Amino acid sequence: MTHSHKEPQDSEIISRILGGDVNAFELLVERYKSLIFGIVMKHVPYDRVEDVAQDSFLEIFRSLGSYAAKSPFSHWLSKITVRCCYDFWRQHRSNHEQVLSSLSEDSQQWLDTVMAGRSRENFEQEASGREAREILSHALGHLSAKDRVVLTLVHLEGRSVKETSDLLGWSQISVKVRAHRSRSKLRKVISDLLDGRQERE
Amino acid sequence: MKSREKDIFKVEEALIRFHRRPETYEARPFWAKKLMARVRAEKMPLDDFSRAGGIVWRLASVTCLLAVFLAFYASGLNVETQYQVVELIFDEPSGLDLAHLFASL
Repeated sequence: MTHSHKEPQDSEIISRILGGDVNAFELLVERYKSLIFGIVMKHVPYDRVEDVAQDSFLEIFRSLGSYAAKSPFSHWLSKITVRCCYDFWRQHRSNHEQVLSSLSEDSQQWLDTVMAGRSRENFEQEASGREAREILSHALGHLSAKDRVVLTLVHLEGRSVKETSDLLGWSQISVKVRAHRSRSKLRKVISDLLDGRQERE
Repeated sequence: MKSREKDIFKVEEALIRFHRRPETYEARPFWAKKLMARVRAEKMPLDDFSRAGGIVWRLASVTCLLAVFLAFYASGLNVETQYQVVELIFDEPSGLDLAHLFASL
């Protein structure tokens, strides 16, 4: 992230914090909150975004001493945030039964609209609603925390295997295998949803 | 079978589009303040004054407990308080003068 010459550099702020000026952390929060929120909101339920973003910043604060400046600061922050999101799903795995409840009528209709295969503009519109969120939550609710985070990063966000392995600190082979496996699971869930839709018809 | 694959692909694509759509999140007004409070609690060591305050409060509770215990103990002894006071006065020469003074009134 580039900053004007008047604003202190990240490294200066980090030095101040490590030197005991805890309040300087607020500058980092202000500077990077859109990045952190942007990551968190794509990984956890909407009503938990603020909590997980806060946990991520807290973890960033605790780990500041270990930042070696080998990679850009924003990348280092992203790593910690993605891992916090993964931890969230590891801790909330028991709640997935709620997600697996039957889909609303609106979501079934959303599937119908998607299947009708309209123009690209309509497609964009269809992909922006509450129904799409419900279906995505339903599908991801079938996956383990590991499968979920890999599917989100590789398949939904389009990140490379190398980038994902770097973010999660896992081997590339592990990410590759999981990406393939989790995508198959997603396709199976979608297939089951479509079966349910056909039975309804 | 091929048609099913196509249908799954359509839904997958729609979900990916949904996931990648640009969106922003507006945190609630006190979010940053709450975070900073947690950060300060994380690192700020307690100063000497706060530490001393903690000790005083712990001592206060111990003292209260001791007072309650002694009150129960004293009530069980069945000793007249007035007698004890008089005895205390007469044990001291100054107390004796005081007793005379009161007697002359």
